[in-house]
Amino acid sequence: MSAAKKLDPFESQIMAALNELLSGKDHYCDPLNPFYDLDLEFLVRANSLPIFSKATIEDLFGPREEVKSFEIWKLSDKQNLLDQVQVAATNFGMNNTLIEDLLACADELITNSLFNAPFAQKVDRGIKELQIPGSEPIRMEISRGQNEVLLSCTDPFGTLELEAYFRKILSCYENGIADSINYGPGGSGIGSFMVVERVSSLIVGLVPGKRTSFFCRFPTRMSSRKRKLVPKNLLAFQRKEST
Amino acid sequence: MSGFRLNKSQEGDLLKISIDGHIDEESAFEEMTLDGISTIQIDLEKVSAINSVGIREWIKWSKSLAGVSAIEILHCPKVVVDQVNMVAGFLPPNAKVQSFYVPYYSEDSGEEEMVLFKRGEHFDENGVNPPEGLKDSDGNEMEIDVIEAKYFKFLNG
Repeated sequence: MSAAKKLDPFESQIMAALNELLSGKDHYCDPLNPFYDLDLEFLVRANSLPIFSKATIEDLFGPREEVKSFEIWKLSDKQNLLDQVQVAATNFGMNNTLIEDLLACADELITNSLFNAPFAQKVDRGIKELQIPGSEPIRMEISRGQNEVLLSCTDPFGTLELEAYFRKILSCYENGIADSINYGPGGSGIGSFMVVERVSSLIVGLVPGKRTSFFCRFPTRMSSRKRKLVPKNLLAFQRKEST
Repeated sequence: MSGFRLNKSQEGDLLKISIDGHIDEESAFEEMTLDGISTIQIDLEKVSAINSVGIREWIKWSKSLAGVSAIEILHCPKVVVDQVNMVAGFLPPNAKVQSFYVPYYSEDSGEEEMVLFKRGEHFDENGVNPPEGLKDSDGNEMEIDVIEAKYFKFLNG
């Protein structure tokens, strides 16, 4: 392991947010984040829903100006899905650097859902014919609100371990990316970190055995520079559902 | 398919490599025979994206190029500059970036443009000398659209 990493103010803010979630809190929202109210509203909505596992994007976030939905079963369809997301994002009027960040998150979320969510063992990333089991696909949605865009990825397996997920991201900040890369079987171990680095808000919704959803929010009509200066909101919602 | 392609050609002791498409779990980086090669030029102009598995595959491959005297990186796109800054060791120690893209943005029109910074003209070991007077299609001034301390960090290393 390398010597203690020198942190910048952005990294310190994210680590504070991750530590809050690891201490058992369900959110860390910064009042300077433009989605402070909207993200907290998500928690109110999610908590008031009788069933989270079947909730739609509108159930969770209120009316959206436009929603585009996609589904995927196998790895070989990933690039086609990313191409469709890119077309939708372009039609939403998003600028290129924002589209690059959104696509990078879409790629990591889909890859993770295909390889990790359905399988107990680490799956070799070289398996090109990989396909998820079961009767429900992985769903991705991109939707537009006022001055923001939301990317969501939902799998029907609900196998995410929240604490391990946030702890892995935290370790990337603590140890640096180079020392966090996994060169053994499975993924590289830095995909979730790369998502957090790009979003302004990340919301994780989990119903064990039924659903894992990631919601990434990005501000539109903002320069990339200003967007990168936005302090991040991180939220986690978890509930057991028997029906 | 991610459209990944690696093309190479040799001119004397110079090996020219160009990489196209998305660097990810499907990217087939081949082992290189470096006999008689002293310099490698890697042109990244057409790299559209690199994901977390792609970063791992790139690092494994680029380490195998460490035997040559020099590696020159050309037309490095923003998606790769971000990784160079974030991942220590993303570039081997014998690699030098010769040119890279910097995004510019107009607050008035929302227009974006990628500007190529060239070594010796726009940057060197002593710092960055950005081109001035860049305008959008309405004649409004465009500004560098990155946090400079973060984006130009790799030039100090």
